[in-house]
Amino acid sequence: MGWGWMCGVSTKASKRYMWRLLIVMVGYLLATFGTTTFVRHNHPHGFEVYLLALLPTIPVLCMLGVVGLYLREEKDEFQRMLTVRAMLIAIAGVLAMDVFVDFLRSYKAVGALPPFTEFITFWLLSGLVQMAQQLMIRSGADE
Amino acid sequence: MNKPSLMTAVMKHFLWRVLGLTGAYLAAILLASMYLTQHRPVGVALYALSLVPAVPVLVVIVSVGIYLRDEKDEYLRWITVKSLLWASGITLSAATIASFLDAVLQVRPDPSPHAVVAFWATFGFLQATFWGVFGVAQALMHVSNGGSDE
Repeated sequence: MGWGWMCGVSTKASKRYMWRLLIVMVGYLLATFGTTTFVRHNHPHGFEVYLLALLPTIPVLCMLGVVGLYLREEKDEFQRMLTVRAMLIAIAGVLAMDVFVDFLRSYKAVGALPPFTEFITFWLLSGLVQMAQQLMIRSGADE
Repeated sequence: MNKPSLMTAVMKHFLWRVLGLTGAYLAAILLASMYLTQHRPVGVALYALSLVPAVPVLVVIVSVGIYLRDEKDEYLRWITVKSLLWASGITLSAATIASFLDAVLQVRPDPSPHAVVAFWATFGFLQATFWGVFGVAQALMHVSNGGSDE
């Protein structure tokens, strides 16, 4: 699917998905670093800060929108299933990590996670699962 | 007149599994907290015990996967995937806002399962809404067909 060109699978939908995801990822980085820099230099207060905090969430939602668009456009049902499975594993990883860390934090055993850990973990896990799935399929096909 | 079926058998199994696992999640948190308060374990034992509440969370996600595998109705599968994507988006957005406030204002939320609550609240709300719309549409079609499911 999406990471297809890295693993040998590339449908038209997956190519579009990769480009869209790349553009939204760049948008996320720009929104996050731009907003953080703006706040550090201009020191806005109260309501303005909370409004600015909403900016980086736009690309976050867009990324999941890109996945939804891919799932709608992809004709290959098997590839769609692989993507949904990767999303499930990624969100499972994020939720399990949050529950684990929150539990330890409530007993003062650890501090908070570094900023943006959930987002990075989600996309890293999803990418790794997609790659692992494609590699397993390829090794299965080679045998 | 036949009563229209608003829920597939797979959907019913899924709902019972989720209900059971939500109870297991709450029980796991309660029991692990009680054990920690009474015995105050440290090191590996503390980390191992902290993994206990994460197990039902993982199993619920597995049950979503089982539902998607077993559900024959493509439309119902699609609304579950849509709910999953929206719930992930809302959860990651909430985490991003918290991270941003932490990074620029050093405001850290209290430790509580925010992500899990955000995810399941969004997922449950959307599933209920989509299923509700699906159910009403199915019932209307049933009535317009004069009580026949054809």
